[in-house]
Amino acid sequence: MMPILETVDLSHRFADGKWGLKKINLAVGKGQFVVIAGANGSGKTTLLRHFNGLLEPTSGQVFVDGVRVGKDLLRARKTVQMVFQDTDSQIVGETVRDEVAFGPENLGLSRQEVRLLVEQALETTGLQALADVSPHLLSGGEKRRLTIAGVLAMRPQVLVLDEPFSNLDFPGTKMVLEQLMALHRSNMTIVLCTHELEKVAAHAQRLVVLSRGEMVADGPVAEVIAGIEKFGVHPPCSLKCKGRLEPWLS
Amino acid sequence: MAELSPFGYRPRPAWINDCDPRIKLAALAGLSVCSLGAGWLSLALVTSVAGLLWLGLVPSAAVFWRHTRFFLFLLMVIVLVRALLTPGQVLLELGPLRLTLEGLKSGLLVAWRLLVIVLLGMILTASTSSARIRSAVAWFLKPVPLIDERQAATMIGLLIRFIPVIFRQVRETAAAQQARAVAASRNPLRRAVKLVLPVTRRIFLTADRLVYAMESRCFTLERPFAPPEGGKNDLPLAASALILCLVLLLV
Repeated sequence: MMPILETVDLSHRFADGKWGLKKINLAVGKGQFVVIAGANGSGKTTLLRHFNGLLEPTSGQVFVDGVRVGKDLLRARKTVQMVFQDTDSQIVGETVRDEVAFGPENLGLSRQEVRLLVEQALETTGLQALADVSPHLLSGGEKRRLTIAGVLAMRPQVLVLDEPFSNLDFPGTKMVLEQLMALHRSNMTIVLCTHELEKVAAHAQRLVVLSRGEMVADGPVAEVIAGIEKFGVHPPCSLKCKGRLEPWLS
Repeated sequence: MAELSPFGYRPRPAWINDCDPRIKLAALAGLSVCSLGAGWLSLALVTSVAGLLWLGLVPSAAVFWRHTRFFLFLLMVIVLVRALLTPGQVLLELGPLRLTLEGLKSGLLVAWRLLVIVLLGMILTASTSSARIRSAVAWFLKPVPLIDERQAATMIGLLIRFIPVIFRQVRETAAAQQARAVAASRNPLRRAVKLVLPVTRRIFLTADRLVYAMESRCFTLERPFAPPEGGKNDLPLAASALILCLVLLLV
């Protein structure tokens, strides 16, 4: 089966000459839940930004559903949607409803279609009651769900999340994780990057580890996680204490 | 939870919220220009009207004070500088410095005019969503040659939308510096530089992230603009603004 996301020898060099990514070969199948882990500066965010053409490769190629990203940028961005780490700097709408409508409006859909997509995304993320509230009055967990609603309204096939649990308290993290699990059950492909494996390891199918821009491990979570400490990522406590991965959600 | 800002729009059942953004924008421009040459009596009248409108929109006087104290301090500096530099009847003499009655009057008048303009601007931003301001700006700029009205309107809309974020960043940076005893430094210029540099850097970083987020969601200038819509209070608002402009010019 053709992967929905694929990188072939992807390398990225920053303007200052440093290498962000070196020869990354990764293929993600439809419906997979993949976690990309790595220490700060390992290249996680840089890799995610290549998936919908926010960065151009220095060398190598990125394919979305078999088509090179650079060949059809709009198609890539419709297929792969990204939730960024800092919620405040990605929310552009005056109200929750405006924010969710931003993406579909950019796609040039009719008002009726936009309204329908917005209602569906709000319902999926449980934000209907907050539709007319200013985003800046939401809690951290609600803001994160809003950013997810904003990208879901564009009907992507792949959801890419950059550190979705950062700055979230326990209820906020639980709320976002439950949302992601529900989306995964509905066959959405999820690629999530984090250095907090504790929260997500037991729920994902595959773990990819980056270190200094190189892909150093890739495989089922239970296999890869055993030696992950040497790449600067803390293994989940349950693995250290009980010798097995325990899910965050009951 | 984010703190309420007197500059940020909040949906609320206020009659001024429903008025046509074009009329509100035109009223702001007209009243601001007319205020620049206004006298005491007419300024008092406009301030009273603006104050009444403002009371219904701004969360509380404390919030207003917290967000505008630096601007009010600037106004005080303007009054003082004018009072010291304008020749006239001396009220107070401190060594080489002479505070004059004429200077004090002139400084207070200038400061009051600026305060009225800021109050009117706050009423506009607190009662109008950035999307509606954007559509009004685009409507006004459409006949102007060589200006892409959509680009200009988007930039203004984003600027208004991000004012509360910028204020939060200033507050956070100032608090972090206060925690490290910045107040012990007696040099106000050094304190200002230490605040401005990191805040400016954060603003640029936020702008950078915003660009990525917008691009990721397929942003295009061709996105539809909601046409500016009016309400039943448009005519009374336009008439009131016109009368106030005449008062400012004639009284």
